[in-house]
Amino acid sequence: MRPFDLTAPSTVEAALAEPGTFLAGGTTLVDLMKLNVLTPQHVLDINALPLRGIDTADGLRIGALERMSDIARHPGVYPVISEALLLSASQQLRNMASIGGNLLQRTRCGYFRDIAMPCNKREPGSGCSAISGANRMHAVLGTSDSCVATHASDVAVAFVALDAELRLVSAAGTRTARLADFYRLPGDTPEIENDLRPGELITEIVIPRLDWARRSTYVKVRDRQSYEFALCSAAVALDIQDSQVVDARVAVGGVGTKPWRLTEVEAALRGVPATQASFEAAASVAAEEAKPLSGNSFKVSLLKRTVVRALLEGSRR
Amino acid sequence: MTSRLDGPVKVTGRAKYGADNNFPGMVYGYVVVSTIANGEIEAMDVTVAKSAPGVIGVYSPFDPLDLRTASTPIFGETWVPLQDKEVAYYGQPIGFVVAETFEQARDAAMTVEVSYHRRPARTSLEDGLSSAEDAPPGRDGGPSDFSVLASGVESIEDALEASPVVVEATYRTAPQNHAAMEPHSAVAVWDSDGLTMYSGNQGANIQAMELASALDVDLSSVRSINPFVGGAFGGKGRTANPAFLAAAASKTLDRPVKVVLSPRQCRRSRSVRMRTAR
Amino acid sequence: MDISLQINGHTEQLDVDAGVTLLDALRERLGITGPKKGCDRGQCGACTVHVEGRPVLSCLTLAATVRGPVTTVDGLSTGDGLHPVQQAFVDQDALQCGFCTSGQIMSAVAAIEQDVDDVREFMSGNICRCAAYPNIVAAVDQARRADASL
Repeated sequence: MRPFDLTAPSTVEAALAEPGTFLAGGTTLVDLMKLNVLTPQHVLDINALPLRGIDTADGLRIGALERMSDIARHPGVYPVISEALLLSASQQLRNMASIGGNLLQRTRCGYFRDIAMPCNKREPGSGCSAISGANRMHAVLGTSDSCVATHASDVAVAFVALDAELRLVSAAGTRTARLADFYRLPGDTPEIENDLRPGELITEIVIPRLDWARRSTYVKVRDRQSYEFALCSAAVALDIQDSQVVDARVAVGGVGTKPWRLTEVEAALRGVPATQASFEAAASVAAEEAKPLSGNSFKVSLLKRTVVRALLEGSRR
Repeated sequence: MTSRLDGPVKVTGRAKYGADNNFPGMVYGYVVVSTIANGEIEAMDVTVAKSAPGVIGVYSPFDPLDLRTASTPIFGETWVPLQDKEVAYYGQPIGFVVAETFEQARDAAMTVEVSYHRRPARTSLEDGLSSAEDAPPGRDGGPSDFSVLASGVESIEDALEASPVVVEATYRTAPQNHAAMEPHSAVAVWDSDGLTMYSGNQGANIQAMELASALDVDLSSVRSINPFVGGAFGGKGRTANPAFLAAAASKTLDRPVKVVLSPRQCRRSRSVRMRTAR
Repeated sequence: MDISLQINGHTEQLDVDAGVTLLDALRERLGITGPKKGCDRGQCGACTVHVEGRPVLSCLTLAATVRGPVTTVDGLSTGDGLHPVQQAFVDQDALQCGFCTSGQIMSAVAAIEQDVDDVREFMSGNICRCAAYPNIVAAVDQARRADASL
């Protein structure tokens, strides 16, 4: 850790007036500061800010400082979201971590987390150690020659499937951003992961109302039954009427450099019978853009099978 | 069922493991490890570390602690850190920073800059077999390579030739890390009687012997106190490098010294079960 | 920074740098060594304490940001007796080396208070390398039944 100042503003205005790095749950920031991966000089403990509240009256509105565990147990939250939250991390971490911070968490790539190793995301231009190194946990979608790191958030996958929006505030005012567009692909600038502007703060996450998303689920495939990041995950919601799929939302995680919405799979699902055969046919187009690495080629077929499994389980809700 | 005598102290947090011991005036050490797998250290820039807040000592092969290779009748020789510039593995201890607080020691240790003369990393057991050396003879003078034959068997080759069925295969095991819950650690305290070492281990007498040998003091002046070990699985049978470093630094600085290895250091910076192939 | 912490019912005043974790404040400044440093990076659960009654990882919590009361395993039992969860861990032999035990107990207390359905999943944030898991689950069951019968 490098020495730093810590303040604790109690209003949003005060928080926006000080340049620095925002600290909420600390499960990303404190971890990476101890590794010297992140070295902020000024940290603002924002936990006293009035960014709380979970409102299910019309869709879902969640204050950015709400903790993952509290959102997961709140009645009326779409199942895909509460399941994604409950399959994340451990109960201790879910008690600590804010939803805003969860969406902005950094990759688990071991090279990013080790300052002795070349990493373009951490030190632009230094190289990517994962492309020719240990890359079993890395991405097959959205990669570039500069970076193949996976985005690790589960609930972001569920949010992207449901067209979530972020409310953001800065000294310049407020704005709204569609979460799916907010995340960036690495390209040549893997150090830029999203559209967050300097000094900007997420205040709220908004999910537009989608009544049929009560039939939804999150499936997470990983090496251990619990407390482990995804090899591949899928968030699905299905509008099934008279055994026909009327509409669908499908997004995958653990395989992309950002949460990956599968609009082609959604299109292939509309109007088909809600059967395993249809789900398999639709999922067959899920991995067309996938580019496997030396250690993760299994993810290409795993991705399709995970989508099928999520559709099957979702259809039974 | 008879319940564990140490159950009550463990469930109330009162059981003291090595790093749970604190002493007045105690300072903290943090180990600096190599970031190459094979080669030698050309230079270490410790200027920032030496003047960092709270730092009272920075040790390296260029400014080593007073330690000799430990030698005991049971295990033979045990390598001690910082005695030369050779780097034999990634994560090898190559420096030691001591400061008033754990955070100061850790943060100063992360400012040390090392330049190496790097040799190609040797990571494959099978690729290295062609240049492998035979083990040295036993300390009793016996050969390093010998056969044990069952009674009635004159030679293994003949026995295999005479067998109706012969199965030949190569069996491999991966390297394994002991991965105990308790990281390797040490708290070293000197007084007029000598050294007291608090460090999770699987044999207090072995640890005391290795420390006495490494520090070149009488065995009678070394006490190893270890009522509780947070798991070992074979990985705490030998004295770990934190104990050597803490003991030597504590003697030089005349203050109790506590060292705890980080999880990466526990995985890389000490002995593990080797890969095998047979 | 001057900070004030409520630990196991006592108020403690400390002067610490901003980067000191709650775990190191407890262990190295206050001599409260029940919570253990197993990994120092939020991956093992041995440092689990309660803040405002909720289990959190003290190794990823900055001491200067703690606002509510903190409870560690050291503060669970009052007087000579053991807390029912501690007693259950002894009765069910839910430990071997004991290094993970402090954190396991803090999570177990919460599992019972929250009446969780899936105890194994709830406790999965506490790693045990001695594989006492089946006995830990049995201890939670015992303590939960004792709690229910009160």
